[in-house]
Amino acid sequence: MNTDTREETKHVKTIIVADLKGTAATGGCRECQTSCQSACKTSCTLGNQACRK
Amino acid sequence: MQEVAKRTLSEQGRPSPAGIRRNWHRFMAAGARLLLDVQSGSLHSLDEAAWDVLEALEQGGAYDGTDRGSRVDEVMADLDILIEEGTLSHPDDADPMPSALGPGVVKAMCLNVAHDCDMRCGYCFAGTGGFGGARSLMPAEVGCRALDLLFDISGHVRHLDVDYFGGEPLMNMDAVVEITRHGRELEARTGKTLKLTLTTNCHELSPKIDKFLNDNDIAAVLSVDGRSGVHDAVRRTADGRPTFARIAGNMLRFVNTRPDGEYYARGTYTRRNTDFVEDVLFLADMGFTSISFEPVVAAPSSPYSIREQDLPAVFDSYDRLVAEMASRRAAGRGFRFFHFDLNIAHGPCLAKRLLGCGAGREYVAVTPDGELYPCHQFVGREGFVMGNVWDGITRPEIGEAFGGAHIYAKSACRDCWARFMCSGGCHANAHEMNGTLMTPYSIGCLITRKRLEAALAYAAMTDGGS
Repeated sequence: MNTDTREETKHVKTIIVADLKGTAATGGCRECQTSCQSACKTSCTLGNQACRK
Repeated sequence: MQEVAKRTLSEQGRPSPAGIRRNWHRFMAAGARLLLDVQSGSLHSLDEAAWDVLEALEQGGAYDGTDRGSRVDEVMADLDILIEEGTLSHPDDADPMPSALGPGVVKAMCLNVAHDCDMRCGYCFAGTGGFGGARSLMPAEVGCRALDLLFDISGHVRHLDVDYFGGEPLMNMDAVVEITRHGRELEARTGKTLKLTLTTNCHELSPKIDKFLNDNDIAAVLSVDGRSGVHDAVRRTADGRPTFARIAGNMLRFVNTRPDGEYYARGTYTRRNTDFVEDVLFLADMGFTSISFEPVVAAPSSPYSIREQDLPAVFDSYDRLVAEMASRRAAGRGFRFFHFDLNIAHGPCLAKRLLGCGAGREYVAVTPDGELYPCHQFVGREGFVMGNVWDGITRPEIGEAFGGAHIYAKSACRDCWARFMCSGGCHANAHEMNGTLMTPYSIGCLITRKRLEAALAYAAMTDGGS
């Protein structure tokens, strides 16, 4: 995804670029930390995980 | 994998209102007008004109502002530029599909090294340590056998995680020491990496244990509920005494011994402290720089559970926390709040996000007797024993059922804007509240969505976050 050369926008400004769709083909290696969505555990929630690939 | 479409609005005409509501999440937070592109995960800011145009599109009507000519065209042109570059998806695009979800690979374990606790917290989901059964401690050989199993069934996966949990794990430190030694031997033998975490109430944290945790690179989750009055109202010793003074001293001493070591001061908020922002800031003022606060896990009948009428105050706490954290950061007094620490640009892949909860597929809990459950919250629930540390997973169908509860399969998640960031919520909560893995806990959904909006706003205010 190249955002450097595009035409300047006037009313909508991009703050953070992510490419989740692109990981549909490249992801799934399973090396990331196992996540837990339970509120009783802080040790392994999904939100702040980084991809380890 | 499906082809990623880049159909611009000018090519396709007006997108459907339902598609916009599902895939373009427009929200105001901390004074900013923001737009999350759900499918790519990109975050944009909107000016007033763009906000108004998107609002009109969402409602299926024409924009009827006073300057509907050129500025509407400019906004539409902006949206097309973003679609063209891939930071905005066409709202009517179908969700992407990963190549395959594949079978589960267990790569993490929660070791309940103690089904016992020296405290009696009012809201404890673990039945004050016993998980509804007899109080007991895990023999070291059970824990070591659990690690043997983990290193074996994790197959090709190199990064493994183990959490010492309970009950209170410090009640069984001899076993923790022996299991840790065994885990480090397995690392050396296999070339895999084992990340260890210990969750503790800190009541018996001592300089000797501080040193052990630091020497063995064990991350620590330190339970404390913030202001002393809030903490002591719930977190008491077995004989009813308050605990704040003792555990706060232990925590500060420990944290000061590990300037670079990972820890979280972790609190629970209930309906009794919906102003928990004050508790977070109290801990920050004490000097803790890594803090997490979570809503209580409690049945609706509990005097602690968060009810719908408590949500406005809860939401206000998150809003105030964003503003205060940004202000403190600007003043050089910043601290980390776990749920605002999103990794937006380089987070987990799509396959991971379809099923945030790893229970039963990637993660299992081990009881002191060596039984395996899908997670720590399922321990003791009838019908959820998956196997044991000697025979391995003998009932794989349980993990398969958990694998089927992904966000594309759950009606409440399928059209939710937060689906790729929440990833479906906690299966244990869903099962407890609704009797099925397929229907998430609705109050939890509302809190999660608000917390994500706050986290995105914080990221926007701090130059894109992490």
